[in-house]
Amino acid sequence: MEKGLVCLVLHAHLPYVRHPEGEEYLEERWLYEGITETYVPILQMLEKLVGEDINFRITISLSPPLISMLRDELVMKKYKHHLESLIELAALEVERTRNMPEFNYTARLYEQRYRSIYRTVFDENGGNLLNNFRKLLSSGRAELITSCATHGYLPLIGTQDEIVRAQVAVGIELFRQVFGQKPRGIWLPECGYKPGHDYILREFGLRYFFTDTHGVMYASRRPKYGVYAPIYCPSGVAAFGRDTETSKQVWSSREGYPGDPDYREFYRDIGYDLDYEYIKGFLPHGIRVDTGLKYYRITGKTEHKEPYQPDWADEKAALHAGNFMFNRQHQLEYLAELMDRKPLIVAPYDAELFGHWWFEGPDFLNYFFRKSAYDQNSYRLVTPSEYLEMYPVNQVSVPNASSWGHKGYNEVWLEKSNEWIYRHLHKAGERMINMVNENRGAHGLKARALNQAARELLLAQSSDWAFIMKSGTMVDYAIRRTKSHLHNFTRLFYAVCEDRYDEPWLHQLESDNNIFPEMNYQVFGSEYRGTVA
Amino acid sequence: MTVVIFTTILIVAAVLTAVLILRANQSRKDPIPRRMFAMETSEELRPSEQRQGTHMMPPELPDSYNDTRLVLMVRDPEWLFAYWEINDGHWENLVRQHGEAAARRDNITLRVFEMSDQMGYFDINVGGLARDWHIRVGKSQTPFYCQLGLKYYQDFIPLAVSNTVVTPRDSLSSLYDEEWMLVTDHEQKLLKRLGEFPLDLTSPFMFRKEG
Repeated sequence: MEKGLVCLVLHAHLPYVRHPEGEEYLEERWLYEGITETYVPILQMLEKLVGEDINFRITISLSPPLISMLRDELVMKKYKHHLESLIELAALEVERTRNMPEFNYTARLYEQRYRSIYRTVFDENGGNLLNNFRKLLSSGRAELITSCATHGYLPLIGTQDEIVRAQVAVGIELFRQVFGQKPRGIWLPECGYKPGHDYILREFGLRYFFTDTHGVMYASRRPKYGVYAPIYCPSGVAAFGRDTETSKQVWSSREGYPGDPDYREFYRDIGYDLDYEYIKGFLPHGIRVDTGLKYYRITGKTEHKEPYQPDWADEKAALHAGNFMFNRQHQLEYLAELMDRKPLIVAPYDAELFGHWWFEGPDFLNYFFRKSAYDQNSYRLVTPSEYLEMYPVNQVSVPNASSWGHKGYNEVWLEKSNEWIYRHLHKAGERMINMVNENRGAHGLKARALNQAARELLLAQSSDWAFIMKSGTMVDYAIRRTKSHLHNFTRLFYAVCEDRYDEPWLHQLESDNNIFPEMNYQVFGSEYRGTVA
Repeated sequence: MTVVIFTTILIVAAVLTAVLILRANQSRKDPIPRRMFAMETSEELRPSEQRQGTHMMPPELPDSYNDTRLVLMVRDPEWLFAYWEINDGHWENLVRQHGEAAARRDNITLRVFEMSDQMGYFDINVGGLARDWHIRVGKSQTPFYCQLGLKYYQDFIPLAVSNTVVTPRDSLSSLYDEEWMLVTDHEQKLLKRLGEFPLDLTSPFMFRKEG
């Protein structure tokens, strides 16, 4: 009989970077890299586990912008083109390195990998990766959840309940359309929680969300089990707090696994390393960027890098998975002595860490799942829903307002680089709510304008823009996106106020910023309430 | 002799130019700090052939929405953030009503109220140029609201009142749940195991900070 439980959560999110106006957009590469390096390798790995009937559990949050891009024909067509070019580059690399044994083996692996990704995405699924997620969901091994419509950071954009409700409603509705069921839990963007928002989650039948460690630890009443059991908000929605040990072991590049010398070095990419004339055909507009083909291992802390040895890295991933398992066993055996129920370790991560940043991350997960199934009896992997079925009675306490961003509260999204956005976002939110309240039964052009206004506002609210402004790279893009969505919104607002519409412009906007095709603007109305059914 | 020197200079110049060109084309091997998804720095962006407008910065957003409003937001357990605007018509009325000496923009003051047991407040003279302010309150788990007004000698003429916010907690609650007690030494062990909360364990920051 197991001593404790482990809940592994991956949150997959990317901002909505669909650009129909150009063939190659640098920002679209975020998605391409996400698909090639993270989503498909993880899906392939999980499908293999299901195929081999290995018992595991994982909780995956797919953000609505990510779902929207994965089901967008144009985006996936562009990705196909990108992947074809990547396969071509990998094949060229196999040829180029044929007399360089230290690189050739790795080059061959890249080529095989890209071809296998192509088969998974396009040959087997016709470019619809969501099919794979559906299959995974039906396997019963993965619990899929979602996040807010455009990953809006609720504690700062949600000055009015209507805004929070709309962000939640649109996310849940998209999930329902794609997966045929409502999600049981939600990933609050950046784990940003503000007391009271849980009442809105309850309206939609959501049973749980996640907070950072201090979200639960600093709750209004001291949590009896620390973060090793969820607490119930007074609304009855459960808050699962993040474990600190599992975070450090993976996130920290100093004490964490991803910094191991045998793992692949992220910052040595042939997009930068190789002769410009050779590589330029594979670079967007000839600009040096990461291609994904990297031949070196971390080696050490200096600039000196040794060639990557895939087999060593694979062995290290297995070793680290074993260590991770061993640590969980000890952690849970210790905690079980102190608690009168099975302790739970909640380990949430950004999905993109696995595969993109930490190339061997999917292998690590693979070994961890396999070892957990066969090499130990101390713990069992569970999903949050399974936990709540097992332990339906939990302590009631109000979680602390918190986030998992730097310093633990709202500062990442509210500091000198990005504080200017809020007066505009709040004003637009207020206008949207009033506009909807005054136009409940709109139809025709007015309804289209209202729906597009809702899309533009949601897109402007995406937490990614404030984050990018703070992070200092690609800042212009984030500012441009914020301003252009707000301008579009304002123009639509005046159009609705005056009941005069520029149809060709509206049509263009509907086609360019086409997120949430089934948008119902009424979700912003003051009388709108979520329905549990 | 002159010819020799001239030729030498030409050769040196040619070699230098070649080296410079080669270096310009050479790969860039220094690790560049990049955010998730390997974005290059904005300096590298070049004009593209894409549809006009998408790469162009849209016009500025309006300076004002012609409102008089004051909005208070929470940054962390110690800091709040307020932004405001004062409608021109409202301002003119103030000048008419209270005179130019009182209704001077230099007198604009943010009065921050702490809604705790001893209801108190403090003033920040924000003047006429500021439109927002980071306010250090240094007190977690406390409700605050503020007023924007004109401070003129002992008078305070309010212009706008904010919403109320509560600063988050930054420590364990001292409120125990009678029905959910853990024997004290068990609790200490549990807390010890948990260790300190790092409050920043998310990918891009961790990698940048320590990488």
